[in-house]
Amino acid sequence: MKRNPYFKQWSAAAQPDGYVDQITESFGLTDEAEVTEIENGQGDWMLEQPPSDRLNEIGTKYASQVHISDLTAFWYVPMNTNLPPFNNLKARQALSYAVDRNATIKIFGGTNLATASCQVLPKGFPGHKDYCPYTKNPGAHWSAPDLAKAKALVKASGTAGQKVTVVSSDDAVNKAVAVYLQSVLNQLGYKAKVKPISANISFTYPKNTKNKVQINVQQWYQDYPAASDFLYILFGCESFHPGSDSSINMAGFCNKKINAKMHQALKVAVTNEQRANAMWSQIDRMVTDQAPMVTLFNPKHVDFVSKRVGNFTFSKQFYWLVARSWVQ
Amino acid sequence: MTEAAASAPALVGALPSEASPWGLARRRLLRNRLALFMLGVFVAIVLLSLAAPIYAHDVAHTDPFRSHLDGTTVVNGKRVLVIPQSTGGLGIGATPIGPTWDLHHYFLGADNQGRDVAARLLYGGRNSLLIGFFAALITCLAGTLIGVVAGFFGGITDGVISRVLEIVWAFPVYLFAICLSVILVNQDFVFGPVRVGSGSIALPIMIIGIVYIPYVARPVRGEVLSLRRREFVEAAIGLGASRTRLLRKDVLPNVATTVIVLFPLVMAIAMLTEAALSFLSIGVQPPDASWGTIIQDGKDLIRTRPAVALAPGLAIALTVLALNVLGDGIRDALDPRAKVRGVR
Amino acid sequence: MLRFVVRRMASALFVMFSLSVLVFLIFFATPGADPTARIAGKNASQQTLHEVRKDFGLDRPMPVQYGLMMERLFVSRDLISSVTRDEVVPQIVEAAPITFSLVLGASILWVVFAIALGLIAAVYRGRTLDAVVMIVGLIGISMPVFWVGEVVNMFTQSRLHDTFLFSWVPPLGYVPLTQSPLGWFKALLMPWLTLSILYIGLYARVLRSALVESQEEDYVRTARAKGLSERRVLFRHSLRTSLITFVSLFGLDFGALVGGGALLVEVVFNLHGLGWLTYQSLQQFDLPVIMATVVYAAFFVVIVNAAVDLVYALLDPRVRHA
Repeated sequence: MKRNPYFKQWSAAAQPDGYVDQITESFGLTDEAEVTEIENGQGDWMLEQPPSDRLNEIGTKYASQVHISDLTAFWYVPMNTNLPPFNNLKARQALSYAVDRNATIKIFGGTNLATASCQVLPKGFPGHKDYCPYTKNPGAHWSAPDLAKAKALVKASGTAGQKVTVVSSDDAVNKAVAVYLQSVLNQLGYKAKVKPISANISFTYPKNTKNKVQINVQQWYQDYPAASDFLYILFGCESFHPGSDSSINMAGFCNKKINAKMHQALKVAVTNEQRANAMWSQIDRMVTDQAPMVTLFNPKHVDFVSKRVGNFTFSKQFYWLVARSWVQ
Repeated sequence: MTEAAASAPALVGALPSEASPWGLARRRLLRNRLALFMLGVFVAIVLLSLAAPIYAHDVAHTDPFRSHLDGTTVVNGKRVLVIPQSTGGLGIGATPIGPTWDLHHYFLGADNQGRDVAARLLYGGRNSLLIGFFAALITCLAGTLIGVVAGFFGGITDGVISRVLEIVWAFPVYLFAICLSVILVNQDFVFGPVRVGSGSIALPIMIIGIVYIPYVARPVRGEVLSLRRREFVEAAIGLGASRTRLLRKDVLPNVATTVIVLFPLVMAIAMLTEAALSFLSIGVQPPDASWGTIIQDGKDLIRTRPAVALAPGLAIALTVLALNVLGDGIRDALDPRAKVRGVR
Repeated sequence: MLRFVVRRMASALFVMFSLSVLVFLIFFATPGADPTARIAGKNASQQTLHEVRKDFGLDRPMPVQYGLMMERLFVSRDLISSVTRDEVVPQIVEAAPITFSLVLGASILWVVFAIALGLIAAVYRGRTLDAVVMIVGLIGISMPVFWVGEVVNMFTQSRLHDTFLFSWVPPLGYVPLTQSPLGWFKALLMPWLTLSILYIGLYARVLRSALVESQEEDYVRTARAKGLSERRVLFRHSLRTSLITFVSLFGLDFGALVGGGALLVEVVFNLHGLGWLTYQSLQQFDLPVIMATVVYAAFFVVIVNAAVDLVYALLDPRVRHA
């Protein structure tokens, strides 16, 4: 296997119920180089997602070595609800109406790798019920952006002409999404800039209110399979810590009513999981309506392995179960 | 003695214009057909860049600063998606269209945002030429001055200047740029009436201009060290020439030829360094374009759409080539000793 | 001579000190660079952050932090990275030979080729060969080095990897000389070529122009008048003094590269040298490693420039008194 970008090298001995005898990890290759090595049989797996310009290549010539797995995760765009222009609900909703989720999916790799979404909870998550108000025909699923409605909302909000800076990680896909968002914001009448920052601080930097980040591109992957991992951790009042680098509620969203309901759901979950999930579905709708973020899509995970790897199994929590695969 | 008499353009007023050194130089330059041709090439590049809005609006009918990820265009009479999704195999990935060689529809193809590369190339020329030219100008002027002072006066002056040059040369520019861009995310530098944000091209011009000063100053210093001891300099001192006169008449003209050669080369380096700085959000920002940023955009398309990175690279090469040859021509024309040319 | 060495060593220390202070100041002026949250982990509590800050001495005043860092880097040599927690000095020691191998090989290549091409262009000045050589060289400096590297990889590792042309090219990475000299050579050949392409064109151009210049110099005319053949004139007299600009630039470029200036080449070819280390530390805002690489690079810049100043005296006897 080949991995990136830390320095250590180690090997693990066989586990009783696994098939591998030894795992060697090596670091430092670019993602392009990793794909090439796997194609050449010089490596067995790569940690990173394959870069977008190799997707077609591996999807056609090496299709049997590509494993696409569903993920409980989402790409979203938190908007700072405490700073203009996104302290205005109409402005936030306008952006959500205007964003063409298909365009962002195209940047990510196409409709076979991602599904458009408007809400917080990803598909397949406990408590998830399809809900999408920010589209041409509001209902359960997203179909197309509604630019006219978006422009009307911007006008009603009175925020047109304001300066907006879109922050994102500087890797290719995140940056491309940010540039696309800039284009949409400019279309809506804002004066938008893009600020890609190093991937190593793109998670901490927007969290600190001192940095006054208005809007940034983020991903969130499940830590544990419960709705609170998405709704409470990302949008609960207690997750918001002004002036700290550890404030996951990047939108600074704190709605007393919704928060109270979240606390209730957390309590109920201890005894009655089903009832709690129903409550979380409701909370999902409430948060989505308040639009502290623009949800883009639910991504799938691409694993590109070498020819000799067999018995590939995937778990949504631990991803590729290395020990259960074998090589011949 | 012959040197001191020949290199005296300051005495122009006394001579009829055709026979004056400037007149001679101009005539020599005009006779150098290759240099003139390259001058034409350079002028053409500049004009094309200035005509970018006309091309984008009236010829290609496109907005090269807006993302057109789901846009369409016409290729060979058929309407196609600018970024079609893959249909083969697992159907993953989406590749922008390649060059259509149709001036009205994505002549050089599309980039990752679905924008017209050819239109962006023309707009990009403006930023690149501006930044490259002025950065190189700063580098060459300041570098010459500093190098001459260090080499001519020697001693402690040289010692101090050389240490400063070493600090500049070893300075971690990328660290500085990264940190500067983070600082400038939400605020701008204000110097009185002048506001400098991270998108201001004054930033890359200043940064690149200063950082490469040692690249001109050190060679110039080396040359001056060598010139200081030459016969004609000693002769001039013997004749009682003042130091400034010496500098002006003997040192500078000789140093000038080195700098004329370095100028286009520094300009090329400047245009490429500008790309790196843009990547770190200093200078040309999305959605604006420069040749460097287009090369960066093309970095993720090297395998599938090489034209995106190649075109601006060739544009830089052509510009630099034109300036190099032109520079040679100017130098040959100004060279008072150039009577013995072409003899081998 | 001894005075010269002592003075330059003192200069090196001064330059290294200045740069270390500058790096420190730049780093701390940057919001978001504080490594506390990243060390503490995802969604750490405020209490955890406070403790991490104390543990790592990040709550002490800046001059104290600077002093501690310098002491750990030079005296006790146990400075650790704020991101990976590995020791910094061993990383530098490991990375140095890799960069050195890369830069030495590339510089030999580019010097040899540049001199050859520059001579050809000067001798055939005004003819097609001159133009062709110059154009090819200029294309070399107009394409950014990461692009050249990626294209080289695309052909040697991917597209034409199975052909006899490139099947010998090993997977990207460094092979220590002590482990296998042939492997070392094979792994470095493509990176050498890539890195040198950038410089060949530039140096050939500089040399050509300096040669053409000096053709007209008095001492050249004297040599010709004395009856020396054109070739001897060119080689022995013009070349030596024309090399001043060439050598000055070489000193600057070599010094910068050895200190870690070849970052993009090292990253593209997976050579974990100083450039690669610099790149990683910049991405991760890892101050201890950044500091170590900058100080190391500064040392080499000064040393190489000092060597160049000595070479001036060799090249042009008239400079000996300077």
